[in-house]
Amino acid sequence: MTISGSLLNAYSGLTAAARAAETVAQNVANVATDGYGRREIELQSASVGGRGAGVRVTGVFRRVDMGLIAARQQADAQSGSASLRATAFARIESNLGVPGQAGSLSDGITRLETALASAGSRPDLPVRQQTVLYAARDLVALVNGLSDDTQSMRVEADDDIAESVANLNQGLSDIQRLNQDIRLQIGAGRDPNGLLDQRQVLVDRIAALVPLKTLQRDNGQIALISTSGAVLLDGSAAVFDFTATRQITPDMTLASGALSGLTMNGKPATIGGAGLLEGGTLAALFTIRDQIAPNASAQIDAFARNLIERFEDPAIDPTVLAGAPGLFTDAGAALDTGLEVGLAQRLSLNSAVDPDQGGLLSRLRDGLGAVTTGDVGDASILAAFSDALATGRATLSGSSADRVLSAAELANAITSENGAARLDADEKQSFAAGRAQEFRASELEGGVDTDQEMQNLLLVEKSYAANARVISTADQMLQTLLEL
Amino acid sequence: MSFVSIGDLSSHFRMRYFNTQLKQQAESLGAQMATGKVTDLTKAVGGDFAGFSALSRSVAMIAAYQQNATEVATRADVTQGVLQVLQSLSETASPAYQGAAISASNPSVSTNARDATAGLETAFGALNTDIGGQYLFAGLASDTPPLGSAAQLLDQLEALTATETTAGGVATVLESFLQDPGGGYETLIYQGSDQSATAVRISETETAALNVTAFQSDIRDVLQGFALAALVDRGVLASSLTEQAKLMGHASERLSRGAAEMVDIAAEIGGIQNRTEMVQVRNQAQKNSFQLILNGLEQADPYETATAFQAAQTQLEALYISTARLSQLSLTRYLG
Repeated sequence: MTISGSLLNAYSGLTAAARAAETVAQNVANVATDGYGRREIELQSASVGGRGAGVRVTGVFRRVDMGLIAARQQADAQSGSASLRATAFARIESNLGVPGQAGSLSDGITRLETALASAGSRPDLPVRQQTVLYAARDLVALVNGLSDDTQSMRVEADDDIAESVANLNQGLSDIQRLNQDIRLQIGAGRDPNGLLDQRQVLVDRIAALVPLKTLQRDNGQIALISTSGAVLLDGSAAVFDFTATRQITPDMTLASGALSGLTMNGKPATIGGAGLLEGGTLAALFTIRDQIAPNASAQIDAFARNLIERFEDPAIDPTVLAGAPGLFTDAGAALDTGLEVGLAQRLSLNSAVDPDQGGLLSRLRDGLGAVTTGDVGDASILAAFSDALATGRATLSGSSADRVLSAAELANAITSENGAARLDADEKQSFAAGRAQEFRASELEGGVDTDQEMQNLLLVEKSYAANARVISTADQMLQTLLEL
Repeated sequence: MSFVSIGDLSSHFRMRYFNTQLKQQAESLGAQMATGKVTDLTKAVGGDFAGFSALSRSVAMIAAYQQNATEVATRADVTQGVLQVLQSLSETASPAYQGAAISASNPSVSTNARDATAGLETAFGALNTDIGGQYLFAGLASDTPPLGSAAQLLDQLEALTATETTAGGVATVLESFLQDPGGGYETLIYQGSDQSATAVRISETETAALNVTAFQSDIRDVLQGFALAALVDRGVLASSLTEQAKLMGHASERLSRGAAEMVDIAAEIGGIQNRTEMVQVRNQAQKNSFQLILNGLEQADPYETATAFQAAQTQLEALYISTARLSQLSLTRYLG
């Protein structure tokens, strides 16, 4: 009996060695796979009725450090969010430009001022008035474009939110399904590791959108709770709803109801701040759509308003009637302070001076309401235009409100404010990115190490050879017995 | 940190991250070297463009002001030239006409009278000077010559003085025609604007205004002086040589007054010329110093950049070497 016992023991050893080799092969094959948890085989000596019965494979387990993974997921969410915000500010900054750079807001004002100064010296020369016209037109186009682009940012953010919400819903429902599959696998005693790998990848994706905590439930299932307490998945997945808005104008806000918010299981979910879904890229997209871009838009609107106001001063141009629009208009009309939202998109050059709109170039010199050509040497209105831009004037709206600034100083205030915000966002991003990178590297340290797998393989080889030797020896011994 | 094994992906990931970082750094420094300008100006000024923007604007505005100042200076120079002409004409003519008045001889009077006609035409021509279409003595209507022709003036005056018999009478008629507000000169002869040119901005704080037009009474004095004498050439008061001689006397007086007035105006214009020149010098100095400061802020020191670039390059090479070496450290290579 002992000889057949040793045969069986050796046979169990062979099986264990084969399983171990399979594990090594699995690990080595997946050395570069994302989301793969290193497989480790656990062996236990078996005994039947007090006597040794070889070796038993208790199971192949997936070794991951859940703490590190959780930390890495949160760092990724933060890094993604910081990166989106930094990109938003960088985009606004590249639109605004920096002083001295051609095409920047500051440069637009300076060009207009220098053109007016030159025209003031030779008011009889149409070519100088033309330079003023081009500078004014370009400034208007620049302001229009700035506002248009902030609205584009909002549309893009809105679109991205819709996509993220779709991904979120899909991911949660996939994880719910995988939970069930894993439960079934474990219940049937089979190896659920492959499914666990898949589920890990899905959770990673959702964790970037909404930072979350993973809680273990029975039978290998997990529950997902957002870091601020909303239950994303516990048994059944939460369903999120969001409607994209195709075209967004400056007056459309979340508060006005024109833009969609996020609903979770039919109830409104507050985003960001102390809301249910703070942190992560989803909240960052909402911030871009509802705070960052609208703030920039409001700044540009305030600038447009200030520009229009400067030229509506009745002391500048005696040919302009009270209440009539000045050099810059709100789509042809005078300024209405109640309609400041979106003003930057409607800013226009008074058609009276624009030959392309049926006006006369000489009206820059003779006055907007001039019917006949005046004295060609009269630069008084041109000089008044110059003063209008250069004089300090109380800013009546935007974040520079109540500061007395010239047009160039106001342009600079806007540029500086955004520049400081961008630098701050950059710093936060580089900090968050560095942190995420560190956690990821630490997490990967627990991954597959081919050197260790090779060493294990050496052991497996030896064990296999030794067990095979035992079998052949036991077999010989039995043969000897049978030949008696 | 595990002490049993370290995953392969971990060092791979770290190397990749460092590679990206260093490459980004090297690229940014490379761009800085190529353009000579700091790649991130916002960072260089710490997010506050107040000083930079003000300096940048000033540099651009000063360039425009300098051009204006040059134009003003040119106009002033040409104006001075005209005033010189008027002054020297008057200064030469006045004693000559006085001489004719005293001698009261026919040849002297008629020669000087002819001379006066020529003098008047010269004066008209001078006052009608333009620089590239901009008439200097026409005030705001700088696209129109300020005066018609000398002949037109003499025609008008001849008609008006046809009935006069005394020099005093003729003088009164001319005085009224040329000097009365709304009189003949203003309505029939002077074609420009009664307002002188607008002040031109030549620096952030200063303007310059060349306030000389042919509308002014002192310019009219010179014209009046020559006209008085030129009428004799037209045959006014032909009946009496004495009266004609007296008229020459009036002309001489008027021209002597005119000459002195031309000196005064010239002094004024000279003052403007001096001030403009000073402003130009000051503007240039300001522009240079502002530009230096701007350069300091926005230009990257080439030596510093080159050094940093070389350091990044060296680091990148070191990273490549360590990546290559680490990837060779694998047990797999040593197993038969």
